Formats: sequence, C-alpha cells, structure tokens
Amino acid sequence: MRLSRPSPAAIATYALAGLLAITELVVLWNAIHPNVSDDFRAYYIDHTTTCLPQKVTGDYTIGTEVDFRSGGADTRELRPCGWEGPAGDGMHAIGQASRLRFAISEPQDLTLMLELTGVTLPGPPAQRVQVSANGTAFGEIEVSPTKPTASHSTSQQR
Amino acid sequence: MYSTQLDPRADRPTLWVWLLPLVFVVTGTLLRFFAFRYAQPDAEWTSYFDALCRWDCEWYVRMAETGYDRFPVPSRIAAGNWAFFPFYPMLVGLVGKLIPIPTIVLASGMSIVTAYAAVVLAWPLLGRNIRAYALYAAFMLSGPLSIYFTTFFTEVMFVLLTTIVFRALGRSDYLGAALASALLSATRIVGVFASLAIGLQALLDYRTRTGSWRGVVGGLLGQPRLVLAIFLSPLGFFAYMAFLHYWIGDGLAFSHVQRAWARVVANPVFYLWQGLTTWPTGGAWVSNAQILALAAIGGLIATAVLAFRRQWPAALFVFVATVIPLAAGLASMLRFMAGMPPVTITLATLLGRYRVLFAITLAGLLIGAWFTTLAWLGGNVALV
Repeated sequence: MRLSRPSPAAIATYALAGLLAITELVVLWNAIHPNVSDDFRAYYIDHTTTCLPQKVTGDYTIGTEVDFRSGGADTRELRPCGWEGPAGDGMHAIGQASRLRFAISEPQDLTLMLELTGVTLPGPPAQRVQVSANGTAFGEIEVSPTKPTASHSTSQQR
Repeated sequence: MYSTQLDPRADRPTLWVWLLPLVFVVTGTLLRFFAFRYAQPDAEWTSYFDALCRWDCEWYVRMAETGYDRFPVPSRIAAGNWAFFPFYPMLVGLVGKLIPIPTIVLASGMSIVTAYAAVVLAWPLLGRNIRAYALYAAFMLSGPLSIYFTTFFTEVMFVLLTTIVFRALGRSDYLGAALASALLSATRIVGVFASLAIGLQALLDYRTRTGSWRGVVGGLLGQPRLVLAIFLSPLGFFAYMAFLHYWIGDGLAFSHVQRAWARVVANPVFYLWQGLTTWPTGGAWVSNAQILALAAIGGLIATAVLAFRRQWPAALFVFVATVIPLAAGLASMLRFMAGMPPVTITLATLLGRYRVLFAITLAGLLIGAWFTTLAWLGGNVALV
C-alpha cells in the first residue's frame, strides 16, 4: 500500500468542510438552547399555556362596565390573550387560560365583577374558572349551561 | 424520472424545448386571467395579480416587503412568520429594491420565469421525450395547479432547485448538487432532505465503482469534494436557524411556531385514514380531506415507482418529503405534491408514453386550469 500526499486543493477542501461542520454544530447547539422570554417558552416550546400575552394598553376608566359582546365597545386593548370574538353571545374564552388587563394608575382597593356563561360543548358538564389578578388567586367559580350566569366579586390591594 | 447523460451536450435543449413552454406561459396566463374575469366581473383587470394571491401568498408578500417578525409579533398574533423559509421571499424582496413595482406583480413575473427555467432544465429528467416534456410544461405553466408556480409561493423555487439537484446527481456531481441543495434547504423545510439523496447517491456510486461495500467509509471520506458537499448541502437550513437565534432567540422557531396553526404531530397513517374516511357532504363527489389524502397517496405511489426503477436517491427524497409534512396533518398536501418534481416528472413520463393518453391528459390539464382557478378564487381549502 502506498500513501500519497494530499494535494493543497484537497487540504483546502477538507478545511472548508471542517469549518462548515463546526459552524453547523455551533448553530445546532444554540438552537437546542434557546434564549427566549418566559412567555415565548411557555407557549411555543413547553406548551404549558395556551395564552400568549400580546401587548395591550389596558386603558380602562375605573367604575366603567365593559360589554364584551357584539355591539359593545372595542375591548381589544383589554385582552392580552385567550379570547375569541366578540360573537353574538359574548367573548369566548379559548384554551386553558384567558387574560384581561386593566391599567390602573394608583394602587388602591378594587372590586372586580365578572359575568360569565358556560357554553355547551362536548366535554365536562360544567367549567371551573379560576380568577386571579396580578398573579394572586381570588378564587374559583363554576359555570354550566344549567346555571348559566355566575358572578364573582372580590377586592385586592394593588 | 430519468437520469442525465454523462455527456452534458446530449442534454442540451433543442429549439423546440426552448419554445414549447412559452406557448404554455401564454395559454396559462390567458386561462387564469379569463377565469378571474369570469369569477370577478366587477373587479378592475389590474387587480388580477392581487386576486390570485391567496393564503400563504399573502404572507410571502409581507415578508418580501417587511422581512421577519420580531417577538412579540407586531400584529399581536401568535402566528409569527418564522414558519416560512426565507430564500424565495427574500430574493423577491431584494429584487424589489431594484425594480420598484408592486410586490405581487414582481413576484408573479419572477415565478413565471423560474417555472419556465425549471421546465427547460427538466428536459433530460423527462427522458428527452417530447410528449412527457409537453405534459410537464403544461402542468407547470398552464395546468390546474399552475397557480402555485405563477403567483407567489415557494414551490416554484423548490421545483427549480430540486430539478438542479437531481440533474447534478445524475452525473454524480456532488458539489453542484450540494450548491443547489444549500439554497433548497433555505426554501422549504423539507429541502434539507436533499442532503440524504446526495449521501445515498455517493454510497450507490461507491458500490457501483468497487462492486462491494468494503471500505465504504474510508472510500467516501477520501473524496474531499463529497465531504464538502455533505456539509454544504444543508447550509441554508443552518443559516436560517442561526438567523432565527439572532433575531428572536430561538433557532427552532420555524418548528415551534407551528403551534399557532394548531398543527399536531401524529402518525401519518392516522391522518391518511382520517382524510380518506371524511366523506363528502352537500352533494360533492369527494371531500377536501379526501383530495388531500389522495394527493399524499399519489406521492407515495410515485415513490414506489421511483424505487421500482431503482432511482433510490429520488425515492428517498420524495418519501421523506411526503411523510414528514404528513405527520403534521393533511393541510397543503396537494400543493406539496404538485411541487415535488420527482413525482410530477415521473407522472409526466408515464402519461406521455401513449399518444391517446397524452392527448387526453393534455386536454384535461388545460381545461382543469379554468375550473381550478375558479375554485381557487372561490376559496376552496383543498387548494391551500
């Protein structure tokens, strides 16, 4: 067997191939180690939420009753994620979580009142709704077709 | 699909090969235009290009004009445009900087030129058979699904680059195939699988040359151009991942963002069965889901034909490029199969074999263009 010395062109070709291989490995390493926000990770990567919050102003005047049904005011700026509509019978909460944002200038004691209706769909006979604000849980209410409207009020030092 | 000749001069197009697709450029444009006028008689004729730009085409127009979304997406939706691979929309965007006309008009012109080039380059892969060639040209430029290749979809660039890959592989020109494959892998996600076809062709060539598999690893690694080709061929894919990591911090965002379209990965056989058993309603002969499932089955049958003809690299490419999207559902399967040259070229060679079959198919393609354009304008989801 006789080994021949590789030509300079062959060496250059191998070197270029090696450079590409290393570059692609670095890209792959970065790809499996994403550098993203918690919201991005939860929705797109871990699938731990169905609600990807979007930037909304949350403009709201304290004491105002907001109608989320068709014909009501435009509520887009109060809804970061998890809503679909408005439809004739209201704004549909979709997925496992739905968020509302109310921008309040001064911290103060507030009462939140919600009116909800359960929609008949294949699945459990009633829907449990956990209500929270600023990450603090208020409590849980249950809505169902037989008990169509539930309201929940609470207050929180903001 | 046939292989290229070892002598490139034998594959040189004749005058007829250059001219014939131009006839179908004209007939296709007329058919689609008159279908548009028939469907939307009150619309301005100048809105022809906009009217044909539907579904993903609208995404590509926006990408060509404004590039990729940041996170959060400015339009406040979860569906970022990272799902769409960059090469063709960015190319249109780049040309648009030099030729300032409406993006969809420019893109439609570029698509027709690209489709014409793809047809002419496919001449040797069609066995230099004029009937198969005519069918393929009619299909691409004047057929029922010519909308995909003459408006603004990435399929047309995918077809051109895939054709170049298999032309180069026919002469075992690994580096030429890899250069086309590098662009292909930045055109559609499944383009990266052309790397597998190049690797398989190299293996088969080694076996043919030496008569055995002994020393195959050393034999392949001893070819510097092949080694370079292997790492060059997926370069577009990796370049896009590097960009996404820089742009939004997630190199796999093109895959992760599929969640916003509710695409769920499952067994491809399950999706096929579900599609086939979704029966039509409202008096239709066949449901949209059945059309999509049958398109996927058509791709798999073409894979079998390619394998029967021992065209293993093309068979492997088509099989993987069919099954991977199928694992995420049937959506767009008709478009994916229409834009898969080994499938459509193989069908053209089969249908062009007999004069009568050729004539019926050609007539069907031209008549079909009218009805499919109407269905497209009507929003038929099987065509998405």
